[in-house]
Amino acid sequence: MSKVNPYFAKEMKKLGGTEFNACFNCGTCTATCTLAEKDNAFPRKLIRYSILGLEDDIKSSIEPWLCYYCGDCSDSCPRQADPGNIVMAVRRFLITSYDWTRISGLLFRSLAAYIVAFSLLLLGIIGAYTADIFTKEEWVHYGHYFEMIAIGSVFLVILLPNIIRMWYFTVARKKVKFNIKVYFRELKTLFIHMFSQKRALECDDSKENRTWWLEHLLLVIGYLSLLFTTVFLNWFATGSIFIIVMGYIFSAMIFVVTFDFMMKKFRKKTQRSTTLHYSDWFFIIWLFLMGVSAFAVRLFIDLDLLQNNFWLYLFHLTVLVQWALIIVPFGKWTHFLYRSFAMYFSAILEAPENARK
Amino acid sequence: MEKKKQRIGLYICHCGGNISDYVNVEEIGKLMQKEDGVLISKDVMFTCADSNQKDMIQDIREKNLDAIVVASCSPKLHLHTFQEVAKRAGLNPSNYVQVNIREQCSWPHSDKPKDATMKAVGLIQAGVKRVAYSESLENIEVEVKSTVLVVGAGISGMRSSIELARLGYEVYLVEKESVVGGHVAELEQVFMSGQNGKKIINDLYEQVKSYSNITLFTNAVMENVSGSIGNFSVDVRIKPREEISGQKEETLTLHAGAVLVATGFDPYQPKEGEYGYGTMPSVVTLPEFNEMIRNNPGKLVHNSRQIRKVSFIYCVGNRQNKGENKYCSRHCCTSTIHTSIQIREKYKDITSFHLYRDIRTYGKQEVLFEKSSRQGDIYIRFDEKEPPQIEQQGKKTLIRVTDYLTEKRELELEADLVVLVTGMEARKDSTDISAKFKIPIGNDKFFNEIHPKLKPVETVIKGVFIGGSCQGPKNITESVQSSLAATAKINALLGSGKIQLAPIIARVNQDACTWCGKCAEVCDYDSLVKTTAANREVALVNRATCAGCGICAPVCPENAIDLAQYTDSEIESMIDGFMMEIDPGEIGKAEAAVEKEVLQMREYPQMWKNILSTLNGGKKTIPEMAEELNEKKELVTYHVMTMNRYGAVVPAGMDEDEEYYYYSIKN
Amino acid sequence: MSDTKSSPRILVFSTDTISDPGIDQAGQRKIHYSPSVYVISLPCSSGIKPRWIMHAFEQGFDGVFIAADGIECSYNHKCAEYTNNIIVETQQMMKDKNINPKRIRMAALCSVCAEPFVNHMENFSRILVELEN
Repeated sequence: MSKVNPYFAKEMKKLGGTEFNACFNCGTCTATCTLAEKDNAFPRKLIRYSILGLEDDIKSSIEPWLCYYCGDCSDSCPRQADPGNIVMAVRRFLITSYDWTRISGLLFRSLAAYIVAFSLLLLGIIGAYTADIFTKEEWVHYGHYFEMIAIGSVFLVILLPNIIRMWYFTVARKKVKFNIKVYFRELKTLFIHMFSQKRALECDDSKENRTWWLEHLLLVIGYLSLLFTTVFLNWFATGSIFIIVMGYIFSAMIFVVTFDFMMKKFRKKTQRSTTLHYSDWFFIIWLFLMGVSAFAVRLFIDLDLLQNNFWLYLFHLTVLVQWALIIVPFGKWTHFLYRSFAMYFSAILEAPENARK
Repeated sequence: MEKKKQRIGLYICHCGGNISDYVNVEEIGKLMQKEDGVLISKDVMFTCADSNQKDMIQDIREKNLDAIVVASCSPKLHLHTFQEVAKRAGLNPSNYVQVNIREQCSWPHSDKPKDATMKAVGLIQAGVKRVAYSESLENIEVEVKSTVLVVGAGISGMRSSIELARLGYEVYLVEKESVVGGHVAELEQVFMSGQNGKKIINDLYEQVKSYSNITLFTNAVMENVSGSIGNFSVDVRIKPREEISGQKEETLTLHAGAVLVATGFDPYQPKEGEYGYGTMPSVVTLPEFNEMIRNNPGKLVHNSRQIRKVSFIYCVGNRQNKGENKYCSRHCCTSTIHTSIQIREKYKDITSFHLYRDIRTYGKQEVLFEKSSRQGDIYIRFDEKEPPQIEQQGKKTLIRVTDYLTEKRELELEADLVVLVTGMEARKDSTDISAKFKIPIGNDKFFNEIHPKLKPVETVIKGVFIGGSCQGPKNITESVQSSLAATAKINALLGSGKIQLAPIIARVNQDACTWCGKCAEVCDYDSLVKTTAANREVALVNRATCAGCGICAPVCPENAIDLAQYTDSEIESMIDGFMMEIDPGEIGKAEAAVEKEVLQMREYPQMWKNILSTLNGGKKTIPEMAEELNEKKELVTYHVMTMNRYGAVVPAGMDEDEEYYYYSIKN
Repeated sequence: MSDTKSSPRILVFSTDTISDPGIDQAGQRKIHYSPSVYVISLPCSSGIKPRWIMHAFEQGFDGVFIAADGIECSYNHKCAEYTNNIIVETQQMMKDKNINPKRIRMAALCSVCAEPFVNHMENFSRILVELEN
């Protein structure tokens, strides 16, 4: 027995799912979606859950993470109910439900909260700079430390517990038999998907989709590599030409691809770029700013201009801090993590019955 | 009995090729010339064409034909056409018989042309034999009163009365309630115009009053009905009005040429306990809910509780697979969704659940469905097998339902009010009215028209018409449409002051009749009555009321009754005609020739060899080849064309007259 | 011609407004049935006289099929009952003449019942052939 909650739809509307009420249950979205299976009427059932307010069923859904928003369902919807958009809204809802701190819930539902959080961090940095507690060298030095600490603590304190919660909602609650061997064996799925994003290719065969997948993959690789280069190879302080060049390439990859994404979103050329939540804009813009500012900072170092133009580093640091403390733990960044884990969990759930014993 | 017809004209139709492609009409035409009584027998490309109609009229006049038969398509298409031809030529239309050799011969037997031809011969022989026994019948002419009785002063009855009055008829409008307007007056807002129901009715009422030739009786019920088309006589009992003291009950006898029955419907009344109706205070019907909306301007309050969640349960008392009401009331989906949009606009903070089986907001009403979903109404689909369960838990009303849209999930929802969407039922007194006017009613107790598509407002009782929802569930638009259609039919009927009735009625051979009363017993129209002729009690047919069904004929122990145009001799001669052995003779020969040709066509390898040998390296035209091979040109053409397509031969220029192509063997 | 001889000859009584249009529709849709089926259309099946049916058997028909209107009949609400009475009465007459009562059949046929009509004809033919053997 599931209890109907008619007020849940309002919640979904705040998270960006605006048109799904128009659905008249024809099932065309499911017919067009490659993720739909015989017993899994995706995405239609998510729309039903949202309309009826069946929160628990939504929470235990893995499929929204497997969807790359190709937009076929929204294109073919006879009622313009935009099913793709509701999948995106459900993803935001999932991010807020996995988050034990509840901070993402606040940020996803209120643009004001987002702006306040960003402003506070900006003011903090300006404050610290004007208070003159660090020398310029120390700023760069501690900036690097901040990055390392932030990554570690955000992961341990926020993301890891959230992934465990995700596992609890999507796997543990389904009461499948637990077998540690399967968890180890399927780890390969986690990493393959994380570094290939190849699921996106299964969505459709069009040239447009392949281009998008390639760009998306470049972005993922570029981002992870830049992270590695700056954090572990200390790009801003290194003397190795190889590392310096690699850093340039990776940061350029980020801002070129994000720039292209932004342009597409501005022009609203594809279904994927038509309906966007403000959290999507923050994500893409900050990623772009991060790539550009990191590139510029290293360039200024190489040209010996940074000392006289230290504002640039502060700008980069602000972007970095906002990124690492808001967007990564509580914003859209998490979709990267949850999607890879969703692949992992669904591989575990799909493992043959005998393998699970 | 009339003289057997001896000068029969027979016309057999090719119907382009629809008939002649499968039935050898030419040969049948020749064969039938030898038939007894047949003076003319022709095959015609299109018998219905104007030119042939003219030829037929000429034949009838010049050859003094006494009967005609056309063997063509179904009588449903052209019986009337050729009856008119007969009439124009001065022949009684009853001396015409149409034989159906298309829908019931050439088409269904297109797989067996030879058998189809033989069957056509049988059918045509039957038609010729039948027409030989045909009698000249005269239409029955009845004088009619230009007065119309309209039963029921709802929107349909009032609209029709106004139109009839405008056309100059005297109208008696009879209403059993003390006020006019029926169910439309109960509606606060009508889709799509958004008008107030009461206002519509008030406007109509003002119009009714403005016509001096409409007499409105309220509080009036039908008593005895007698008479027939052109002159019905109806006793109407008028009850005294409560508010006027001293009024006495009186009974008037009204005379009318035609009757329009527009008695409308009753809303289905749920049984005690059906979905908690009558046992739970939070369960009401849609009409009751509409009244609640009318009476609650600011906030929607029921039993001193503000209503925020309303749950509609659809198809209550309708579309019952096991129950009596199998039909869909068709207006209720629209009505309900319209109501749910109305309450959202009126009370803002209110949510509607729609527990439905199928949504049928057909036609222009579909926009409502979309609007309602977009405003956030929740639709849940259940199956008749698993109806929603309603439970009262303290102050809460809980509904449990299996949602067929969500993996048949069991859902539980809470509602402040449960509204049962009740459909239409026939009026409680429809059986009574049916008995008085003899209008056939269905199992659902709605009145039956003659044919739902072809005669949608006529009943088998001549002069009695039905309009509006007494005929079956209809929305307001459809109700008014049908009653106005009936109005037009009444005008066509009564317009000239006289009417012609078809002569197909039962006839009693009073010499043979011994009056046992069985015929009167089976007649639904009371058309057979006892009379005295030559000092004997015998049966008499009322020519104006007889419907011409013939039910009385087989029950007569003396075989004293027959139905005009369906007499024993006519039917039995048809049977003889079907079974008459015929000499295939000419038909057989012609068929055999065709068959040989077909066989030759199939033996193309031999034919190809022959053609190739005549060409023998040179070039020849088709006529030359045909001559050399001693074959038909058509056959040679066919093969040469085929050989050309397969590349065995090629065209090789034209002859001197540029008339034929030369062909030569392709290298 | 061989077909007409071997397949049983059936006389069908249909009704002008309902079952005859149904039979017409089989033709319109080119659904084939045996060409040894002949149809006589009447206003209402309750007007069929038993003597007509007997005449048909005497003339060599193998079976008689009544395509009645059932509850759809627009003339009489008891049409089906009276038509049935006619069949019962005829079957009595048939017994007296040693004709198997199975040679007469009745079914309700609607105005668009093309396939049901053809099915009835096939089944009835089969029954009549079985009776022959």
